[in-house]
Amino acid sequence: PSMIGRPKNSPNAVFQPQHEFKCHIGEELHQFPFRYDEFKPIISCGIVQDWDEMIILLEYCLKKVPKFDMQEGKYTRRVVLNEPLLNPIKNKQKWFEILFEYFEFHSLVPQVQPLAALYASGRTTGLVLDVGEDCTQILPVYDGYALSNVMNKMRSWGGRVGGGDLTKFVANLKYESGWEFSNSGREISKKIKERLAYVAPNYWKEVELNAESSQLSRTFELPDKTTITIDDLRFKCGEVLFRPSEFLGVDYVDGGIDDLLINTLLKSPIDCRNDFSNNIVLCGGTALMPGFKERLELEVQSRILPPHLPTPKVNVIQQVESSYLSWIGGAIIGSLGLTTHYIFSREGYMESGVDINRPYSLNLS
Amino acid sequence: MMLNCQFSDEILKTYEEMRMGKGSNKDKKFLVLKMQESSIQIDQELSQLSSLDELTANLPPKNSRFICYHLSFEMPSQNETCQIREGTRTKMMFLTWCPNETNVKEKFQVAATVKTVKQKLNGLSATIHCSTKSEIDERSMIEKCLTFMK
Repeated sequence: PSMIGRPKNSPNAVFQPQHEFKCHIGEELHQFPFRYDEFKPIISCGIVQDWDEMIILLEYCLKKVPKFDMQEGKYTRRVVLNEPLLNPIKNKQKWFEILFEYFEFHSLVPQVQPLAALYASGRTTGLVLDVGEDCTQILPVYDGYALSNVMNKMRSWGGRVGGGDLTKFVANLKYESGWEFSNSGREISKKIKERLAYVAPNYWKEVELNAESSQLSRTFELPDKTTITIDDLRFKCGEVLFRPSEFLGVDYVDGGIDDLLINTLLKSPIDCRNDFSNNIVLCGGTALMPGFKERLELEVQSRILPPHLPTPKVNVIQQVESSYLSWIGGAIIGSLGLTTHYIFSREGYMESGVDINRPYSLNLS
Repeated sequence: MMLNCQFSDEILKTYEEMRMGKGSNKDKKFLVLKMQESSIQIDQELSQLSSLDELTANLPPKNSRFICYHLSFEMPSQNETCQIREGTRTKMMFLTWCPNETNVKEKFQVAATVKTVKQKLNGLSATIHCSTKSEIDERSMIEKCLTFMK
């Protein structure tokens, strides 16, 4: 995870970081989850919050790349910048500035995440639904061209729905039922979510079933070996994605994830709708939740009828590697010598400054 | 995004003969292409087959293929009572076969070369992405063709 934790002032040297960056980064945080003042997410909704921390993270990551020598590599390497949809131009310009001026890379290929994910699933036509940690985005692509007027992000007045919101929801519900977790609560809630949560095909049926019998309840073991029983939380957690306004108490203008998908389908041209509904590609970790795929198929099939969808056939594609699909796509773009329209070289940047990306601020194909 | 690849004249020649119904390949139904390390070649075995069912049975389960299919079908008549037959139509369909078990790099290569291949072969009327065998279906192809033939 792109997080940085700074240790509390403790005399115990075991918890001091071993390398020169003076903080614990990413996976290292899991070794000592109780020792930090705060976890700091560096990127939220795809937008970098703290650039100084971002530089530390990047340097740390580059050190881990095998066979990469910072001194000679930086002038010759090409970097793929995998960015979210509707990336603010300020954010993008800052990326250009850091990658060209601080790291001095040779050239840069910006690429939107959903498009990379679609290519990595072997298609050029499809509707990509990316349900990530802190943002949900959707992009229809026809024959390699992104329909940028239809693309959408899930918005609310408070934030965006994603896997992180589900974790918070789990934590809040556990708190309400009398369990209070301390610092490591986030990690525990996350584990509960990943192991036990699922999406019910019919929410009210599941509620009834849960009231009648206890066949839905599972036990979960906490780090101190006590066990807790989890029942209605399992399907409520998945339902948050479909009805966020009700469960999170925030006004989501676009409704749930199914509304987002259906609105996007209906906004796209009618000739393309069949191709889109046959190729709905899921990507992101939250999309791997059991039952998610079936529920989406059900919702789309029951709510879009002819003539809005000429042949009502819906096919949602969920892959094993779907949680890293956009990352894998970006990695392959980097390793194959792809011809894209948008390759920015360092010389060009030095010549014209950050405005180099102005004409291409929406590079989608 | 486009990936450049080597594309031999033999493929073009076979394709044109098949499409125009001339030369030695005029009766062929399929032209199946496979990718081998950034060059595209004809899959001779699969190209010999004569029906769609045979093809679906013989497709590799873990590798990708490009398929050009010479579809011919009876045009359905405009009104039901009329006895006049509309005659047959032929269309070149372009299918990409890319099952879920393929590794991600090959999938990406397929997606990135689709455009290159389609630029080289002209006269393709529709593209269909297939990842399971049930998606290769003649009826849905005909339906797709009818949407733009009026």
